[in-house]
Amino acid sequence: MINLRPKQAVTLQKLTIHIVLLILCLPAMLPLLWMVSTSFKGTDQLYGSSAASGFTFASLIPRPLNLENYPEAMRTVPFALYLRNTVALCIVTVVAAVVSSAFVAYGFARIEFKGKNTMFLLMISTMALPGQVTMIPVFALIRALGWYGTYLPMIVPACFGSAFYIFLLTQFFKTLPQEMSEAARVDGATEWTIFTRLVLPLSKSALATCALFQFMGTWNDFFGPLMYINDPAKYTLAYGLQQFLSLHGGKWAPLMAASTIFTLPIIVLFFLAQRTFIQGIATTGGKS
Amino acid sequence: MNKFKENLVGWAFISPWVIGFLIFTAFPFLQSIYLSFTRYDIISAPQWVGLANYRMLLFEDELFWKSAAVTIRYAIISVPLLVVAGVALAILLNNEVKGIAIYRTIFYLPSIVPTVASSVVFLWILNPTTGLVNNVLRTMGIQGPAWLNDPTWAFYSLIMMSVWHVGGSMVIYLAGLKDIPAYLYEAATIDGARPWQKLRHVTIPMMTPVIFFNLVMGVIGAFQYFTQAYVMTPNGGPQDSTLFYSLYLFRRAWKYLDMGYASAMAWVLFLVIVVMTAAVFRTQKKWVHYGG
Amino acid sequence: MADKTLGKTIARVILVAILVVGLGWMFLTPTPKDRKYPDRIPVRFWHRWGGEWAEVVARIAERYNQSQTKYEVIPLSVPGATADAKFMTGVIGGDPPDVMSMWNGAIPNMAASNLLTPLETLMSPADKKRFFEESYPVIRDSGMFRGKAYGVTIGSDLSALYVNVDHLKEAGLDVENFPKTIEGVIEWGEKLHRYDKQGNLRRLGFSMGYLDFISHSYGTGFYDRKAEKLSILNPDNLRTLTAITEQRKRVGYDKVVRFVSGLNTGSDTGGWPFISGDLSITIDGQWRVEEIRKYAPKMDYRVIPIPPPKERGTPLSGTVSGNFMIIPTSARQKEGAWDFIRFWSGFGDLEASAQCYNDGGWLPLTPKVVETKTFEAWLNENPQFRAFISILGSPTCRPMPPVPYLHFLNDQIGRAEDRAVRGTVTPEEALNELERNVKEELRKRKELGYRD
Repeated sequence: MINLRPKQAVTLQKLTIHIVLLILCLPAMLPLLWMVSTSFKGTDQLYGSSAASGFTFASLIPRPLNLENYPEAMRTVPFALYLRNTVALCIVTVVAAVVSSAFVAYGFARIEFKGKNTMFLLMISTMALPGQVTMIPVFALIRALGWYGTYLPMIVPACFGSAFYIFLLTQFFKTLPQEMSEAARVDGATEWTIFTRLVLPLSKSALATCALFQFMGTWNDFFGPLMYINDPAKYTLAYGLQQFLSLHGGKWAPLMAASTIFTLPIIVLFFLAQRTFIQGIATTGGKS
Repeated sequence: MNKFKENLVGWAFISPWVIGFLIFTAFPFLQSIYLSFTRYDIISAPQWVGLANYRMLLFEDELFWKSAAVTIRYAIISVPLLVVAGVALAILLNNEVKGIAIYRTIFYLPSIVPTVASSVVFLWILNPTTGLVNNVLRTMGIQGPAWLNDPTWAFYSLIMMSVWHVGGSMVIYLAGLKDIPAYLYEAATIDGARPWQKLRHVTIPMMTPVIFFNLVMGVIGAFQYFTQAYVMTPNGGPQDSTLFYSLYLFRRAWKYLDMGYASAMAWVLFLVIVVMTAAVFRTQKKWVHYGG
Repeated sequence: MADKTLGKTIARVILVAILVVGLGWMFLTPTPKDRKYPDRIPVRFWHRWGGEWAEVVARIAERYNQSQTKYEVIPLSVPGATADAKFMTGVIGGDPPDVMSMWNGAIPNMAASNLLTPLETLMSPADKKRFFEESYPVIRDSGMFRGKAYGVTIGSDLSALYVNVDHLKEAGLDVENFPKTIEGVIEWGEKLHRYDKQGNLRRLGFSMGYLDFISHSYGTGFYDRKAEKLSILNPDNLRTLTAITEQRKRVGYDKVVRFVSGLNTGSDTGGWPFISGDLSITIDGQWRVEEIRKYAPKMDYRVIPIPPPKERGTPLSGTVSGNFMIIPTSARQKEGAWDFIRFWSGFGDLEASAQCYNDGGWLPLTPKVVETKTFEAWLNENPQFRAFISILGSPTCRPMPPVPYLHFLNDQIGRAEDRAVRGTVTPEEALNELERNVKEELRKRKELGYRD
C-alpha cells in the first residue's frame, strides 16, 4: 500500500465520496430527466428503432424538439382547471388544518386539565389507524350529509385538526418558556390572548412546516377525489393525471408533459421553502 | 385560575379535535365493527351474518391470503431496505465535501414528486422494450425483464419505486446524524477506533431512536400501501403479484359491493397493524438507545 | 460573497416569476363551459371510451342534442379501470349519472343489488315490441337479468380473425385457402412469425387467447344453457385452454409479452399494431373495421370468423360483450336518459341510429338497423364487417352467463387463463382452481343470504 500524507489521504477520500455520490445520482435523477426529456420528444424517437437500442446520454436530448406534447396534454385534459382546483383546495385545507391543529395543540401543550394525557395518547394512537377501517362508514356518513361530489369530505375533516400536526405543534409549543405565559396570566391575559399574541408569533417555523405538509398531502391526495369527486370540472391534478393515464395510456409524451406540469410546482415550492422542508422533515423524526 | 375553569378551558381548546374524532374516527370505527358482522351493500340495511365474513376470509378466501402475503412481503422487504439505504445515504451525505448541498437536493427531490406522477413515470421507464431501465440494461448487455408484465418482477418494480423515494427518510437520518455530539467521535478517535468501529459503536447506536421511528411509520405505511399499486396495476398485476391487501379490499368494497366483507378485511388489517406495531415496540428495549 | 447573494437573488426572482406565470395562467384560463344549451334539461352521460373514441361519442351526443330541443346530453369519459368503482360511489353517494354506458359483464351484479332501473318501465308499447321481438336475441339477452331489461346496447362487440393478406402472400399462403380449423390457423401463424438476429419477435404471426370467447367454438363455454347452471370443468373448456396454452408455449410466452409491450399501442386508434403490420393474423373486435377504414383504407385484409377445432367444434361461435346503456335507480333524469338511448339504439329514427353504430363500427341491437340505407351503404364500403353480422345471427353466439356474480366469474376466468398461459399451473389445474374458487364464492353467497 502506498503511504499517503494526511492531506493526500483526505483528498483521496473526498474524491471517492464524490465518485460514489455521482454514480448514485444517476438512478436518483434519471427518471425525472427522462420524464422531462420524453415530454419534448416526437413519435420517431419514442417508438422508432432507436428507442430500443440501448441507453446513451444523447438519447436524453429530444431530437427534433417537439413542443406539441404540452398543448396536446392541455387539449385532452383541462390541466389548467385541475391546477386551479388543486391550488384552491390546498389553500383551504392548509388554513383549516393548521389553524385548528394549532388551537388544539395549545390545549395539549400549555394547559393542565383532567384527562389530558389520556386524550393525547388516544390522539397519537389514531395515527396508526388504517383509513380502510373507517372508509365505508365515513362514506355512508358523507352520503347522509349530502356532501358527495363536493370538496367538503376533504375540507371538513381538516377543520377538526390533524393528529400528526397537533402532535408536532404540541411538541413545539412545549419548548416555549412557561414563564412567559405565567407573566401574561398575572397581567390578566386570557388563554386566547396568550395563544394568539404570544405563542403563535413565536411558532412561525413549526406552523410553516405543518402548512407545507398539508399542502403536499392535499396536492398528492388521490384517494379523496377517487372516492368523492365525480364531476370533471372538480377534478384535482392527482386524480386528473390518473384519469389521463387510464384514457390515453399509450400516449407517453403527453403523459410525461402532464406529469411534468403536476410535479413542477412542487419542485418550485421546494426551492422557495427549502429550509422549511428540511427542518420540518427533520423534526418529525427524532423527537418522538 | 381555579381548577374547574382550567379544566373547562383545556377541554375547550382540544374540543375541535374531540368532536372531529367522535364524528370521523370513533363513530365510524365502532360502526365498522358492526358492519364486519353483516352483509351490507350500503344501499339496503345491513343484515347480521355473525362471524361468517371472518370465517370465509380466514379459511376460505385464497385471494385474502395471497394479498396478505404480498403486503407482508412488501413490508418485510421494503421497510428494512429503506432503513439501510436511508441511513447509508445519510452517512454518505454527512461528509463535508464541495457541493454537498447540491447532492442532498438531488437525492431529496424524488421524494417530493407526487405519488401519482412518479407512478406514471415509472410505468414509462419500466416499459420492457422502450423503457429507460431496460435500455440501460441493454447497454450493459443484459436483457431486462418485462417488469410490470412479469409476475416475479412486477412486485420488485414497486419496491424499486419505493427505494427511489428514499430521500424523504434520508433527510430525517441526516438530521439525526447532525445531533450526534462531536465529543463521542473525539473520544472514539482517542481510543484509536477505526472508521467502521466508530460507525458500529457510535453512529448506529446513536441513530437507533430515529431508525425506530422510521421503522414504526414504515410498517404502518407499508400495510396501507394503495395508490401506487392502484395507479400502476389497477387489476392487481400479473398473477395477482401486486394485489396488495388494500387493493383487494377496495375491489371487494367498490367492485363487488361486499361492504361487510371489506369491513371484516379492514378489521383484520387493523389488528395486524396493532400487533406488528406492538411487536416493534417490544423489541425497542433491546436495541434502541435513548439519551446517551 | 456579493455575487453569491446576487446569484441567490436571481434564483429567487426566477422561481417567483415561474410561480407568478403559473398562477396567472391558472386563473386566466377560462373555465370550460360544459353547457352548450343552458336552457335545456341536462342528461349526464358517462361512458368508458377515451382518446379519439371519446370524440366519436361526443359527436353522437351532439347529434342527439341537435335532433331535439328538450334535453342536453353531457358526455363524460370515465376510464375503464375505475369505471365500476366510480359508478358505485356515484350511485351510493347520491350523485349518479343519468345514464351510463357499462360493460355488460357488470350488469347482473348491479341489477341484483337494485342499482339499475328496469328499462321496461320507461318503454312505450312500440319500444317494447322493438326490444323484445325485433332485436338480435343474443344482444337483447346480454342486457337482461332475471327476465328484466336493465341494459340496452349502443354498440356490441364480437371477435374474429383479422388477416393481413400481404403477409400471407409473402409467406406463400393463399387467403382463399384459409384454414377451416383453428389448428390450421395455428400452423399458418408459425409460418408468419418473424424474428430479429437476437431471436426477438419482430412480427407476430398469430397468438391465441380469449378463453372466454374461443371456448364457445369448442363447445358450451362456461354456462350450460340446458341445465341452467355454470359449467366450468368440462372437457371442451379443457381442450380450449390446453390449445391456447400450447400455442402460446410454442411461440414463447415471454417473447410475446416483450414484443407486445414495445409496440406503439396508444389508444389513439392509428396505433393498432395490426395496422402497422406488426401482427399477421390476430383476434380482435369488429370495431377495428372502422379503424382500418379511417387509418389504412388501402390495406388488404380479411375478417374471418374464428374457425372451430378439428374435432367436435362449432363454427360461428362466441359470446357478446360490449357497451350497454343503463339507468341508475337514483338517476334524476330517467326520461331524458331513455330518450337518448332510443335515439342511439334504434327505437326511433333508424337511419340516425345506424349512423351512430357506424361511427364506432359497433354491432346494433336490431336487424332493423342493419337493413337501413345508411348501414347498407357503410357495409358496402366495409364488406369485411359482414363476417360479424353472420356470427351475430348464429345460434352458438351466446350471451354471457346470467349469474349475479358475473363480474367475479369473469375476473376468475381471466385469471385462470393467465395462470395457465404463463405455465404457472397446467390447464387442468387452472380450471380446477377456477371451479373451486367459483364454488366457494357461490357457497359464501348462499350463506350470506344472496338469492343465488
